[in-house]
Amino acid sequence: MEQQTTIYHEIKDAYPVLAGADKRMPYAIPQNYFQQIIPVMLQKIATDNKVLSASYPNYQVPDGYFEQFSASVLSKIKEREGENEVSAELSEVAPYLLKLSKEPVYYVPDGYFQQVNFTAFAKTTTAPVFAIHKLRKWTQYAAAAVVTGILVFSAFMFTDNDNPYQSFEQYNQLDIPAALQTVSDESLETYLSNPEHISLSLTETSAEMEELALDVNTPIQNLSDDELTQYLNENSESQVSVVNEKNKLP
Amino acid sequence: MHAEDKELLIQFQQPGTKERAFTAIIKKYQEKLYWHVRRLVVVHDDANDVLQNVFIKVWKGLENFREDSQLYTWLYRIATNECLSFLEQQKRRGTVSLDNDDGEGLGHQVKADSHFDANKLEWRLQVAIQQLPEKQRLVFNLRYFDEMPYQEMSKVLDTSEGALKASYHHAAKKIEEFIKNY
Repeated sequence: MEQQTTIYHEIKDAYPVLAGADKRMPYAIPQNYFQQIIPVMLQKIATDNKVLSASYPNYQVPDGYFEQFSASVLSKIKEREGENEVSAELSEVAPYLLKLSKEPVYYVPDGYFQQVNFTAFAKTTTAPVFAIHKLRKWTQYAAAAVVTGILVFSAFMFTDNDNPYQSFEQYNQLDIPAALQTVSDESLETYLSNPEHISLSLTETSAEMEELALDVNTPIQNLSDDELTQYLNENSESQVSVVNEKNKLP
Repeated sequence: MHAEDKELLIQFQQPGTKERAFTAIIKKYQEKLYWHVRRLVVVHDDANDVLQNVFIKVWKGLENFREDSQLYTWLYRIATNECLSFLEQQKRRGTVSLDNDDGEGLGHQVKADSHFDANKLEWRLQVAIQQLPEKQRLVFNLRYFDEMPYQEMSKVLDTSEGALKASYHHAAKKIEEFIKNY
C-alpha cells in the first residue's frame, strides 16, 4: 500500500494529467467469462488428450531405442557411403565384377559357427594347431623312413660278407690297440695306401670316398712309420666309435 | 574405437568378466574373420586351424592391445599374419604350390572343392583370385568382400594407401580379364 502511494505521488508530480485519469479498462469481456473459464479449459484439455492418445497409440519401443537411434542412423549412412565408394570404384576399374554376387560359394559345415568354441580352446591351448591330415602326412613320412632304415640295415648286415666280424658284440669286444701291435708296418702302409679302405661313413657315395681318399692318400705317403703308428694309436678309439655308430643304426 | 568394443575390452581386463568379454568378441567377429581366412587358405579345415591360432593369439595379446586403433583392424592384422604364415609353411612343406609356376596358385584347391562349379561366375572369381600374387590377393579380398576403407587396410597390411589402391586396381582388372576369358 505504501509503495502504491509512492508511485501515485511520483506520477502526480511528473504527469499530473495521468494522475487524474480513470484506471478501469475500457475493453469489454463476455459475461461470466471468468466464472466459466475453468470448466471450458478443463474440457479443452480433455479433448486434446483424446487427440494425443489417438495420435500416439500404446506402441512399445525397445529399451534405449531413442538413445541409440542417432548412432544407428549414422552407422547406416557410413555403411551406405562405404558401399557406394567400393561400387563406384569398381565400376570404373572392373565394371564386370559388379554383376557378381558376393555371397560365399565355399561350403561350411552346418552349425559350424554355433558349435565351435574358440573361447575354451584359446584358454586351454598354448601351442599352435596342426591339422590331423597334416599329422597323418608326417606319420607317413616317418613310416617310410623306418622302412628305408630297415632295408639299409638289412643290406648292410647280410651283404657285408668279407667282414670276419659278423656280430657287433665281437666288434665291441675287439681290443684295437692290441690288435694293431700284431700288424707289421708294411701291412699297415699297404692298407693305408689303398683308398678303398678309407671309408668313414656308410652314407658317403663312392665318388665322395674316392675324393676323400685322394686328399688323405697324398700326405700319408709323406709320413714316417713312427708318425703313422702314433696316428693310429691316437685314433684307434675313433675306429671303435665308428663300429659303435654302426651298432646304433636302426 | 566403437563404444561396444571399448566396453568389451574393459570387461576383458577384469578377471570376473574376462571370459565372457572374450566370448562376446569372438561371437562378434568370428564370421568375418573366418571368411577372410577361408578366402586365403581355401580349405575349411585349414581355415578352422588358422582361426583357432588367431584366437589363441588374441587371448594372449588382448591385454596389451593399444586402444588407439580399432579392435577389428587389430584382429584382421593377426588373422592376415596367421594366414601368410600358414601359407608359407605349406609352401615350404610342398603341400601346395603357391608359386604360380603353373599360373594356378591355390586354384587347384578351389577346383578340388566338392561344390565347385565352373559355370558359375562366383566360382570362377575364386579361381581368378588365386592367380593373383599374394599381396594383390589380400588387398582384393579386403576391399571387394570386406569393403574395408583404404585407411583401415593400410593399418592391417602396413602399406601406404596409394600402393593399396594401385594393387587393388591391378588385381580387379586382372580378375575381370580372367573371368571374361575363362
